[in-house]
Amino acid sequence: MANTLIASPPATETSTPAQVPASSNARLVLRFAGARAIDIVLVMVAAATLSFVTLQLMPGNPVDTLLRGTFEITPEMRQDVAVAYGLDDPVWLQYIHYIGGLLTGDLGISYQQRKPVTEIIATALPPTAALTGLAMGIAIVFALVGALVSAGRGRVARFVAQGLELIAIAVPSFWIGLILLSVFAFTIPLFPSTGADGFSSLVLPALTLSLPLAGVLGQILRERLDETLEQPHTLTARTRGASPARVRVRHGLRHSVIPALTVSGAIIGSLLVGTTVIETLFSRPGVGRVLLNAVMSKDAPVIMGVVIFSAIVFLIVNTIVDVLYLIVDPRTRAQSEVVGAW
Amino acid sequence: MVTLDVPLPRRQARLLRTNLPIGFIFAGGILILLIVMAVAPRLFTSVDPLLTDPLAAFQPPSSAHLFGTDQLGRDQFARVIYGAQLSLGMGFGATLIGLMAGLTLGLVAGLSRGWIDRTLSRIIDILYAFPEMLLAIIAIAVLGTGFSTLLIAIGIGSIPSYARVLRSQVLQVRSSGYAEAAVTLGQRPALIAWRHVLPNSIGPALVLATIGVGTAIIFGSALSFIGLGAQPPTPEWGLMLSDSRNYLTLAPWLALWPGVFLAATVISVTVIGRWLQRRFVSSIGDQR
Repeated sequence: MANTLIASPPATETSTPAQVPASSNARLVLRFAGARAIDIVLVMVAAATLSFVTLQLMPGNPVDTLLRGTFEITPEMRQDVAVAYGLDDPVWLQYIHYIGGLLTGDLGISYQQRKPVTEIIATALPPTAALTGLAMGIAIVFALVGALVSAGRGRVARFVAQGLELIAIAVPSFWIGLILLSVFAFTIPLFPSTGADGFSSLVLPALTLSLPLAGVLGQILRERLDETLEQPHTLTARTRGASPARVRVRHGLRHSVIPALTVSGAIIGSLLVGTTVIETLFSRPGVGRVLLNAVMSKDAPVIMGVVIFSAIVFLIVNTIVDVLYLIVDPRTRAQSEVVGAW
Repeated sequence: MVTLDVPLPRRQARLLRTNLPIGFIFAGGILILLIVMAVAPRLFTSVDPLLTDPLAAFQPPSSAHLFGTDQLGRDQFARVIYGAQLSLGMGFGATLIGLMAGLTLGLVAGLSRGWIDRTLSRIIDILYAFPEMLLAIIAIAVLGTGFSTLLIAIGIGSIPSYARVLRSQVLQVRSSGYAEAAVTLGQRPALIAWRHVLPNSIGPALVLATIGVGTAIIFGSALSFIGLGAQPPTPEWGLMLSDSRNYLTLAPWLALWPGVFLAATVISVTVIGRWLQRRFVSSIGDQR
């Protein structure tokens, strides 16, 4: 790990982010992206394989799923449907077809909706992404404000902050959502209770979803901020006449953001499918609902599609988080050579 | 009798200085109450939680029905009390399943060298990449809905984290003096694993499991809420909340108490788990 990109000591009052020459930067990014692209393909195939094998164990014949709602099913019809969906092939051939399709961006056809799985997920993605994005935004604001206000302010502030974080994390969000729904949609009808048209229908679900996230993020930020404010470099900054607010934001936050970023990555990754509960509660369309319907109707291609989608999201988000590390913490740039070389 | 006027303050001070914070005592009390509720619901109510009485549907809370009645006239108080069994059973049962499987995986991966460890670690890593919720939902897709499959599904979701924590501990213990001494003495590998490695590496996983109980309860009730867990007419808190959604304007009280109990359960388990974590494993966060 012979690396001389960074000569300056870890972020002190004087250290500005190390200026990396543009060309070297671009090379790093390219190598990084290349390694990640390989990763994505590998994980996609692994996810597809695991879910393919698992869903073979699913009870019931897919042909029955396909013919649900049809009266007077003749053996010929069963045969036709099986042939049309390649279900009469041996399992290993179906698997090869599936992986082959996957590599060309084809996730198969839904048994229930008779539409390409990619199309179904693509339609469901925007409402889920909007919900996740807004919830994450709200959570970050809550967490930042909470941490900045409460960190290093003595026992009472810590006690109150810990209590609020605990409540946000441990109280099931669907119950909070139910209470919000009961108060702000039914008792005082400020927001619609269901659907996904426009911003107003997004407020309650996003708020509900944001609370546990805010609890998790707030806790990490606050604990780190507490630690950082005890560090010598904070004292240095104070003696130089930096205002308390500046010390908190400029010097404290930078150190606290790194672990928060890690967790945010994991959270966003899990949210794109983990919104099932909130989407069900507020009767919103989205990826979570697609998964739920697929499980209930034994629609194997859609389930596999969502699993693969989730794996891809996980990897992409983690890649973004890794890049953000490089921006936030100059120290990690030395290590990124190692990451990139993998 | 010895007069206590001098020693008393000191002893009181020592009592107050015990490491048990007030939150822990409070959480412990709530949890004990819930456990009693789960073991002996009849101590709290003599009403059958499944008994329907259509004529008494949607009665607001009263002295006859403390928490009111639901759409079928069932006593909501009795249902909430009986729900403790299910939620605690779900939390502890699912955690036990996940812990057992995770410990086995982690122990085997940590103790074996070469391709077995590499393969197992890779599988654990890949599973870890998926949200627990997704793993649980897929397990339900294969196993079907119901209370026992719910336990297995939530347990499966938590396997990767336990396996990871245990494996990293096993790697440390394996190179310790006493483990190597046991190998030198020629003890059988299975005995070494059982007597020396497992007891010394299980701690962090057990503490993680305490917090895991809270997560499992939330997951279980959430899965029941979306219809993939406990099925009607089971008095499960998540399921009761799901039912109450249809009657929010008519009977808002139905949405209150199952949630209060659910929240109290999870909060008390989490408080206790975190205290154990601070007390016994300070570095658990680094191992994940």
